[in-house]
Amino acid sequence: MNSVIIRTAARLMLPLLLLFSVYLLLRGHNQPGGGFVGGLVAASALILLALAGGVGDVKALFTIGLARTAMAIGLLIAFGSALLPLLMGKAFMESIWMSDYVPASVLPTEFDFGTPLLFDIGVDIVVLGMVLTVVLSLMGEVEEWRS
Amino acid sequence: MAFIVLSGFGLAILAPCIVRALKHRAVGVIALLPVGIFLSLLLAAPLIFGGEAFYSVIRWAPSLGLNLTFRLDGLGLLFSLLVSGIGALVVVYAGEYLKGRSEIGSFYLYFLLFMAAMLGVVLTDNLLALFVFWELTSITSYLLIGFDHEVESARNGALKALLITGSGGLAMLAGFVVLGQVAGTYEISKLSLSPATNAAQLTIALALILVGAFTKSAQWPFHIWLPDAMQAPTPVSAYLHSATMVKAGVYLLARLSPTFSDSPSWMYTVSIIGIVTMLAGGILALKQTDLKAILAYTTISWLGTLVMLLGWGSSQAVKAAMVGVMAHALYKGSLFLLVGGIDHETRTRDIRRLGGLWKMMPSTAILTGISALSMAGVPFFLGFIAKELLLDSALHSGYSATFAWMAPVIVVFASLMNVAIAWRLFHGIFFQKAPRVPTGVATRTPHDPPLAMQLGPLLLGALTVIFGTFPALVNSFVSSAAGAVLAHKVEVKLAVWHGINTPFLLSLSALVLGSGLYLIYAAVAKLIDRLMLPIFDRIYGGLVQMIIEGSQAVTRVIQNGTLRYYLMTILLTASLLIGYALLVPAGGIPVPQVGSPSLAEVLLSIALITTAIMITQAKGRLAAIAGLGVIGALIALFFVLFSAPDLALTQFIIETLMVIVFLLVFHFLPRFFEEFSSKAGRIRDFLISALVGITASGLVLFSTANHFTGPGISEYFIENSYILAHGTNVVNVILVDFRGIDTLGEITVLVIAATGIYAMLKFRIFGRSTTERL
Repeated sequence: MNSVIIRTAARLMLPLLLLFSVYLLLRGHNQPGGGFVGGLVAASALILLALAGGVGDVKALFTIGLARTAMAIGLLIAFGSALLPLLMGKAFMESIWMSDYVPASVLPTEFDFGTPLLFDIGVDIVVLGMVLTVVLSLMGEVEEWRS
Repeated sequence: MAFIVLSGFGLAILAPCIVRALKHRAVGVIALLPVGIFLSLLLAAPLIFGGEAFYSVIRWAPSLGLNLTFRLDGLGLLFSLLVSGIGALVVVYAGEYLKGRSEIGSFYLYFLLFMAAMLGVVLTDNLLALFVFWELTSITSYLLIGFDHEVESARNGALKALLITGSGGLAMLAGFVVLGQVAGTYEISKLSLSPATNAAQLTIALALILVGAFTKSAQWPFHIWLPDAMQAPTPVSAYLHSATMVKAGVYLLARLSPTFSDSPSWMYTVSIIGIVTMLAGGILALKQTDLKAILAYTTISWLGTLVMLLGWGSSQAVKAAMVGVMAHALYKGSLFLLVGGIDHETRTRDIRRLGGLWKMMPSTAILTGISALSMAGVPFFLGFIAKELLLDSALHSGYSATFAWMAPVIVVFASLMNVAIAWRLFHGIFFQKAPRVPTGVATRTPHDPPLAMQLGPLLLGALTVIFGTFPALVNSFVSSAAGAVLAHKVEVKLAVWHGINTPFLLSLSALVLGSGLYLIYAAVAKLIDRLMLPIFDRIYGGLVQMIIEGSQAVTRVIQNGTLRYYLMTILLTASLLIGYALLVPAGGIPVPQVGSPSLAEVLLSIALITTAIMITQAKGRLAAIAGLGVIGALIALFFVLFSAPDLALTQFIIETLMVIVFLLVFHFLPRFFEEFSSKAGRIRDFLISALVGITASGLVLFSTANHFTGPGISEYFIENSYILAHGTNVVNVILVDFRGIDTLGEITVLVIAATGIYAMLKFRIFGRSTTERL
């Protein structure tokens, strides 16, 4: 499947899809979306690139090593967001919101940040890393077997 | 308070780096922590003596009753002083003992982890937290016994200790849960105040907790792990398997005795197991020839004594137990460290090969003498005070009149064995003339080990003498500890000389008879060797063998290596269990109430069913995979129809990725299904899938038919999503907040699975050799 059209389209789609994945992640708390699906979209964008032009194309951007590191970092962020409340005298995973500490007048309207969002970011990165690790390793195997 | 426990875990993680950076000077830095803990505990001591208790809480999972509650009272103070004080000495000792070993960094890692966990055990006030720390001590003990992991006996010893203390720990957890349910709290300090309500449940809890305490403190018949644990490096034996960890069971008995000591089974069970252990340990110690084995069995014997005292539970017995804990930690810790020094210098621990060392190792001889005298219970050594109290409480054991006379006799018998062994250690190593078996092991003339290895025995020996001569110094420690055990104030006035009374005469006769026993030692040891068979070791060996063979058989059946059978096992088990639950307890599957489906729903359903049938008829893998993808997409359309955009979105992407992954994996399988499945196989698969399908449909019908009365969980989530979790997307709020811990577990599983797949592909567990890719 080495078509120039798909390859070019995949490259053009990539930044849009990545942007869309971040959008999905951030709006997730109030509207359809979230970390899980955000990570999946970002991973699919890169997999599309790999399907169109081979694993080599993706590896220039995102190696398997990086994907594995991403899993670790994502997991750390998720656990960190769960442990953070302990430092503030709350229970494990009890959520902390910025609006509980900062007066509403200071914050931009409709803006709030808290540990659940941080947790969601961790989920996003884990999912991204996990899908890429699995799919890219499998693709690498298939390509190697063919050659 | 919390800092005292948690700082140990922190330093443990840093220990390997500290060792790498500072080489041999790291010991000094690492020892600062236990010294600091020891001193800060001493500073707090006067307040504890005044009857106060320090208290601190870290909320962990309050809804489960699991809090990291720490409480420092008299009992905790006594034990934590021992843990940190002896810990500091052993850190210094180990630096010299393990000098030149490359793994010294990981040694300190395990060692400090153990110390922190042990402090956790004696300082926490929550039963569940106590269990966690308790098991941590078992695990670190496993790592430390198996420190020389290239030696097979060390690995076996480590495993034995872990299996026995670990399963005891699990029994204890069950006991804690029962106790917590009966008492309504997991906080130990609140436990002792609430009156027992349900006697039967309390007995079950007691029995389970006793199993935990007895395995940990090496009580008969679980004592068999302790001698094998002697494979550990000697500083570990001194610290874990003599001074601290094995006393955790004793600590637990002491800690819970306000709750249980009124129950009649407590007194007899605990004290009789203690007596059997005390005698068995003493008798077995007599026949040993390895110095560490001798010390191990005498430790077992003394642990039995302590358990027996706590079983009696009188004020005098508890005092005796507290002094006993202290005296034993001081002399036995010291003896282990000295034996380590002797082993280090002569390269043998076999007492038959040793002799006449006093000329070469004079200061070791003197220090051993001090500890041996304390062990024998000679006046002006702390062991004497402990023995006086012990004999006195044996005279008032609380047994019914028929048996009451036996208690002092048994105690004197155990004491005289201790005297004979003390003689044997001191005389046998240092004065006995020529070795009976030619040595020829040591490469050079032995001499006293370096100062770092003598510091511990020196300080412990000094304390033995000082406390033995001026026992009033430990009055407050003993009274506050005993007060915590008995749950009322206790007056303690220790003195060396009480006049000529019964305990003194008994103590004297133990000394005389014990010395006499040493004279006929060889004959006695031979007799014991012939009479005592390692029955429990054999039972343990048989059990382990049985478990291994049993699990191998189960593994052969369930995990036979064929994915198809795995799937079959999983699906059949699930279907049969769910099917049973639906048909029998739930009383059958409800008839669905069909409303009027919309046109879209009808069309989608027809498409779904047609695709499903098509997949089963597909000849090749590509068609089957594509069909599965179509089904996934159609289900996503259903989600759209029922306005669940989150699910639809996720389902679409997941299905797409699944098709890609399937294509990649199926690349390595035969192109057509006929090549790997027979006709009979396909019929079997058809039956299984039909069963699974029917069960799944039944389950869906059951759960959608409105069985549940009252407000459901979904209403709660919808109502509270914005109020409690600041989010209007309920699905996402459930994922990251209400059910956050589930998600945390799930993403951890994802990472593990991905790492597993990666490793399997990268390192070619199957197929090509691993070296090729590395």
